[in-house]
This record gives sequence, C-alpha cells and structure tokens, in this order.
Amino acid sequence: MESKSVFAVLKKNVMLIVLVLVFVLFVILTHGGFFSANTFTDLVKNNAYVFILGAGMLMCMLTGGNIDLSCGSTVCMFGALGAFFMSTNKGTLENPINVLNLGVPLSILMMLAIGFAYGSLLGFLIAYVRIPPWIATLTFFLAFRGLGTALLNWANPTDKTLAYLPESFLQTFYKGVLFPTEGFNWPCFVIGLLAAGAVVFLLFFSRKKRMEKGYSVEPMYMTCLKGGLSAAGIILLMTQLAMDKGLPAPLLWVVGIILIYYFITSKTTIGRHFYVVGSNMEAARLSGVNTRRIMFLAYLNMAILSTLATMINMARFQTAMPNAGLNYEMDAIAACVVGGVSASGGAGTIIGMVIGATLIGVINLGMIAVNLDQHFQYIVKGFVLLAAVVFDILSKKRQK
Amino acid sequence: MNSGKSRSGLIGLVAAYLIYIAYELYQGRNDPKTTMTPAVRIICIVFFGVVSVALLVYAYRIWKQGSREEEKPPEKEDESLK
Repeated sequence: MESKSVFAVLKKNVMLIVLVLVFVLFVILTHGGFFSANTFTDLVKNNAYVFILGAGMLMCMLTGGNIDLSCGSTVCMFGALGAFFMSTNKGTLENPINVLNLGVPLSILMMLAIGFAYGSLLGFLIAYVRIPPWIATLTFFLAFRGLGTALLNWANPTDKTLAYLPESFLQTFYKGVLFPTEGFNWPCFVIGLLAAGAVVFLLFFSRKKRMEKGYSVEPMYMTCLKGGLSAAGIILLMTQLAMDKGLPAPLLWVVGIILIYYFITSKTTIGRHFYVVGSNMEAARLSGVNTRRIMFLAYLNMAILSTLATMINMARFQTAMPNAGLNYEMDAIAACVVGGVSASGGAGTIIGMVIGATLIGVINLGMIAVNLDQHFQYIVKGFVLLAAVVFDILSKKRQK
Repeated sequence: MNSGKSRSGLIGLVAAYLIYIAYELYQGRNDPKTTMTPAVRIICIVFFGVVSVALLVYAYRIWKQGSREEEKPPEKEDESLK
C-alpha cells in the first residue's frame, strides 16, 4: 500500500489553499471587517445561483467540455414567466399589469414543467440532431433574453418589471430561515456541529475503506489535518450564520443540490458514465454506454437546475426584470474552470466546483468590502479566469 | 480520444470574455468616479486584447486538430494477430 506524498496532496488541494489565503488577505485588508456574520450570509445568499448553475454546468462539461450559454438568459425568461404566473399586482385602471396570479404551488409546477420541456428540447437538439452545444445554447441565449424582455414589456409596459411576488415564495427561496430564533441561533450551531462530525467521520471511514481495498491513501496526519480544517470551516460558517439569524433558505437549497450531485457523480453508475463519455466518447459508446442519452440528460439537468436558480434569483430581487441573469453563464463556467473541471471533459468534481464558486464569491465580496474601483474588479476577474485557463492548458500539455 | 472541439469552444469563450473586459475598461475611460490612471487602463486594455487574440488563435488550432482527427480513417487491424 503506497502512501501519497505531502506534495501530491498539497497539489490536489491547491484551490482550497488559495481560497483560504484569499480570504485571509481580505480579512487583513479590511482590518477584520471581512470576518463578520454578514459576510458569510451574503456569500451564501448572493452566490447561491452560482453553486446551482455550477452543478449543472459541471455535468455538461464532464461530457466533453460542453457548456450551456443559455442559462443566464433562461433565468431572465423563466423569471418573467414565473412572475407572470404568480405576481399579485394587477396594477391600476390607468396602468394595468397583465398577470395571472395563479398561486405559488401551481406557478412553481408550471415553471418546472416548462424547464423540463426546454431541457428536453435542448437535449434532443444536441444529443440526437447533433447540433453543436455552443450553437444550440447560443440560439437560446439570444432568444430567451429577447423573449423575456418582450414578455415583461407586454405584462407591464410602464415599468417593464414584475414585482409583488407572494411572501410564501420569497420565504421558501430566499428570506426564510430554518428554525428562526431570537438572538444566537442554537439550532443552526448544533446542526453545524453535527455536520462537522459527519464530515470528519466520512473522511476517516473513506480512508479506512480505501486501505482495506489496497488503494493508495494520504498520510494519517494529512487526513487529520483535512478533517480538522473541514470541521473548523463548517463550525466557523455555522457560528457566523447563527449570529446572523440562522440557516438561510438558499443555503439549504445549495447544500441539498451539492449532496445530491456528489452522490450521483461519485456513487452511481450513471454518474461514472458522464466521466467516461467525457474521457473518450467512442470508447464509451463501444463499451455499451448510451452516449446520446448521457448528453441529453446533461442538458435536461441543466435546464431544471436553471429553473431552480431562477426561483432563487426571483426571490432574492423580489422582481422579474429584463437584465436578470446577466453574465450568470460566465459565473457558472468560471466556477467550474477555477474549481478544476477539465475543459476537455472527463475530469472534475462537485467539491472542486464548490471551491471554485466560493473563491469567486469571496473575491467579489472582498473587492466590494475594500471599495475597489469597479474597473479594477473587472481586471481581477479577468486574471482569475485567465489563470484557470492557463493552468488547464499547461495540465493538458503535461499529460501529453 | 474526444476531438477537443468543445475545449476549443470553451477557450474561445474565455477569450471573448477577456475582450468584453477590455471593452468595458475602454468604455469606462471617461468615468469621473474611477481611480484607475489612464496609463494603467491602456496597459490592461492592450494586455487583455493581446491575450484574448492569443487564446483565440490557440482555440482555432485545437479546433483544426480536432477536425483532422475526426477525418482520420480508423486504424486497420493487424492481420498477423489473427
């Protein structure tokens, strides 16, 4: 049984180390102001869409570096539709607003149904009609932005936005808190302790299983360090959230999605098929993997997750507007690329995507916290993306 | 192996985003609130412009390589192994 070297382990966790260093840098630059309950809450709530769209983009990129350019415009279009279905504001006699006011459950079901239909169409066009993904998704990137804007213009010609979304919808997807309490939220803290314990247990359990099967494992002290740092990170996050009302609804959605996709990508056959198709599609096909179905599922999945991201976005801004979802596709792609998802497919993990999304979120929040000029923010974002792409190119060259 | 055409698309997209950043920097040159000096702005615009062109060229080369690999006929079986 071979033990992995310290260098190999550090190399594998380089993005996590970078994330910690960047966070510490911003804490120093803000004289500790960045280390506050508000920061953690904002990081979670304002970046929930990145984690959700990132999970969908991961599944697309695993199949061979394929992407979905339409997810940002989908947020605009589906947001307009969702607000049209559920908004309660019919306007005035002079300025009427055209909405259906169908209620929250029916509106959500309809949004999901439309998302499913769109994902099926997109998946069919890409997997079976063989339209290149970037062309198919570019079409909807343009079409949905236009359609969403047109719908909002028709529904509310005065304002071109639709607001007055039901409170129950806002609570479910953004404003709600799990076990709300006055003062320090002890249920949130206890959940954090349990989660930290579970992560440490799973780390050691997984190491034990790998040793039993004869796989190489990292040194024991590295597992202890990883477990300790993970537990500390989780407890720190949950303590900060407990100091600021508690577990926000977006975090629950994000954690649920991450757990589901972690399970799918690492413990299920179909998850492995995504990796196999991305590594070598012809070999996968000859091995009996239904490659077209995998491509179809990747884009159907992306559409459904885009619908969920739309709901969270609507609840966050409490309105549907024509510029909703602007650049969201770039945020999702950046989260995947920075998180180590290979641009040629077949490699990448949900945890990597989460780290990439968190890093981008920390950088965005940190730049605002230090009052960095907006133009310098563009430069920083450009450099982060460029560094991730250069790293990917160099890794590919080293493989050859 | 997969032809790598998708990878070229992704690299091309990143190049396009860098061009967009260069464009935004150019658009913001008359912004009264900015603290960026004109010299830094020009350097960054030129840098992002040059890097994005380089990435586009690289993406095109990967795409051409991928197309050539797709057009290659499958390898014949070695008759002596039968």
